[in-house]
Amino acid sequence: MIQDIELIQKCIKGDSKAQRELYNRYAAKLMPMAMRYAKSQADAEDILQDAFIKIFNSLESFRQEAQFLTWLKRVVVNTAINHNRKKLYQQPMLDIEKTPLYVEKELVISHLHFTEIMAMMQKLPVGCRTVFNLFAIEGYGHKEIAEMMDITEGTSKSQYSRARALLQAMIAEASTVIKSNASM
Amino acid sequence: MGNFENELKDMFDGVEYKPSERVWAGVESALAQDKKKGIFFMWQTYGIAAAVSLFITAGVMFNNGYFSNQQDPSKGAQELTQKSGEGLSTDSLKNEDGLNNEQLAKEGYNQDEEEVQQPVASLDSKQLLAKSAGEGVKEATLNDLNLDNQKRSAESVQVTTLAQEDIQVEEMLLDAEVLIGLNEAEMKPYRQSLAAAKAKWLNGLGVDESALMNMVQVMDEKPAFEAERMLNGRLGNNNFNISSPENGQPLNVTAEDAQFAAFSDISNSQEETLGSISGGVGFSWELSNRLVLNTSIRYSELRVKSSSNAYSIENGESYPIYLPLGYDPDNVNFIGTYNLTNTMQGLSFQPTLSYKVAQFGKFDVSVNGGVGFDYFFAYRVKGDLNFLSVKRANLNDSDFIRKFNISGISGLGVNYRLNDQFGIGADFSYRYFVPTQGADNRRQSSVLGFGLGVNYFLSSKN
Repeated sequence: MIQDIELIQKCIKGDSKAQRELYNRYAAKLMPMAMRYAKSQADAEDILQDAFIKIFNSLESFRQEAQFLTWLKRVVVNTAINHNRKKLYQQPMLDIEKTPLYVEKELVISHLHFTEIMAMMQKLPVGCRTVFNLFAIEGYGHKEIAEMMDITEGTSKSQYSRARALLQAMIAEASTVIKSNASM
Repeated sequence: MGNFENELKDMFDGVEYKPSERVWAGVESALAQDKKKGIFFMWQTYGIAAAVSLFITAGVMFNNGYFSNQQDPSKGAQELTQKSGEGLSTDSLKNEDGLNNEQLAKEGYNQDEEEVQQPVASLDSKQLLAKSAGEGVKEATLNDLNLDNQKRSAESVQVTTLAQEDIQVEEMLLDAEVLIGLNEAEMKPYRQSLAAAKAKWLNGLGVDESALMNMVQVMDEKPAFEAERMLNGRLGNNNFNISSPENGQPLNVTAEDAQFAAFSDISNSQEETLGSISGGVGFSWELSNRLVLNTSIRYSELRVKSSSNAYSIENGESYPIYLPLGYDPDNVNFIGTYNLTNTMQGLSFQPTLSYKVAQFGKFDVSVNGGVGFDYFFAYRVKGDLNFLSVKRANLNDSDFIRKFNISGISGLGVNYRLNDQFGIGADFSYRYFVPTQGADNRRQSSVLGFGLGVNYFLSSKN
C-alpha cells in the first residue's frame, strides 16, 4: 500500500486518484469525530465535506513531523467549531451557576454502543456539546477551549459540567430502560 | 478527568463510520472547480497579443514606406525648396563627394567633355526619350526634377550646366508625373508652400508661367470640408481600480452586521480585480478635419475576487455571504474559507471629443476627452463551492455601490483606414469616477481601459 507521504505528494500535485485514495483511507476514521460535534448525520457530513476541502487545499502546509491523522483530526475539529459558531450565536453560552449533577457513582456505559452514546451527545445543546467534546474527548484544557471559542474559561467549565450531567442523565435513563427490558 | 470521560474516550478510540457518497461528491466537485481555469478573460491575453502584433506590423510597414508612397513629390519639392532658398548657388550644390563645381573646375574637371555616366537600368522612360533625342540638357534637368537618388552624383554638374548655358526649360520638362504627384498629394499647408516654392524656382528657370500658376492654384485650393460619419464597434477591457474607502474599512458593513461579524467571525478578504470585458457600439461625426464627436454605448462586466468563510440558507438555497450585500442572519453556516467571484454588470454612455493630433497616411492618432455616464444594473456573487447558488444582489437595497455614476474620460486612440468603408482602431482610456457625497465607499475608483474596434464609414470623402 502506498505510504501516506507519497499519497500526500500526489495529492499536492492534483492527482485525483490519490485524492480519492486519501479520502477513502481517512473519511471513515474522521466521520465519528464530525458526528460528535454535529446535531445529525447530515450535519456531520457537511462538516466532513468542508474539512476535506480544507485538507486538500492546505496539504502543502502539513509538516511531516506531526502525525498525519492528528493533523487531519485538528482540521476536522476546527471546521466543526466554525460550523457550530452560528448556532452558538443563536444559543449563547451562559455561565451556569447551579448545574444539577448526576450523582450515581457506578455509571456503566460499556453496555452501550458508541452510536448510542453519539446519538445522546447530538441531543446536547450545541455549546455544551462542543465544549464536552473538546475537553473530554480531544483533551483540551478549559483555557484553550475558551480561546478557541471566544468565551470565558468559566463559561467553558460550566458548559462542560452541564454537558456531563445531561449526558450522564441520558445514559442512566437508557441503562434503566435496558435493565427493565432485561428483567421482563 | 474521571472514569466517565476515560470510558467515553476509549469508546470512541479507533471507531470508524463510513459517510455517504455525497461527501466525496461534494469534495470532488469543489476540487474540480479549483482546477478550472476561467476562459472568460483569456481573450485579454489574445487581445493584447493581437494589439501588439497590429502595432508592430503597422510600424514595420510604415518604416518600409508602405504608407509613404505620397512622400516622393514632397521630398522632391522639399529638396528643391532648399536649393531655392539658397539662391541656387552653385556653391551650395555639392555632389555626393562634397565637392562643389568650383572645386571641380579648379581640379580641371571638364564638364563639356565629361559625359554623365548613368546606368541605363536606372533611367526612366522619359529620361530614355530625352536621351534618345540627343537632348542632354533636358536629360540633365529631367534628372534634377525626378530627384532620383542614384542620379544625385550628377546633379551639381547638371544644375551648373543649366546656369552656365541659360537653357530654357520646356513644358515637357514639367514632367507630368511630378505635377500629378503633387496634385495627388494630400492638401496640407506645408505641401502647398513647398509646391509654391517649387513653382517659383521653376519660374526662375524660365518655365511657362501659366502652367506654373495653374499648378500653384491647384495647390492653394482648399478642399471643401465634408463631414464623415462613422459607426464603431468596440471590444475592450477595463482594469477597475478600487481604492480603499476613507474610513479604512474595506467594505461598508452595517452596525448590525459588524456586531454579528465580530461574534461569529464572518470575514471577506480584500477584493482583487480579476479583469473585465466591455463591448459596444458608437457613432462618430467629423466636426472638422481634426475634430470628431463620438458617442458610444458600452456594456461592461467587471470581476473581482474575494473570499468568505460562511454561507446563508434562504428559501432552501445556499448562498455565499458577501457582507456588504446582506444575508439572512438567522441561517448562517460557517465553513472553510472559499473563493468568491463578484461580477458587476453595467451600461455606460460615453460622449467624447477626439482631436487628430497626427496623420500618417491612412493612420491617424487622436487624443480623446469626454464624460461617461454609468449605470450598474447587477451584482452577482458566486462561491466556488458546488452547493452554493449564485447570489444576485439587489442594488436598490444596498448602498454598497451606487447605480449611477459619472466619470471623466481621457485617452488616446489610433485608427487605420483599411478602405473607403472600413477601418480599425485601438484606444487607451482612463476614467475617473467623480467623487460624490453619500455612503458610497468606492468614490476614489478609476478605470484604465484598452480596446480594439472596427469602424464602418457611413459616408466617405472622395
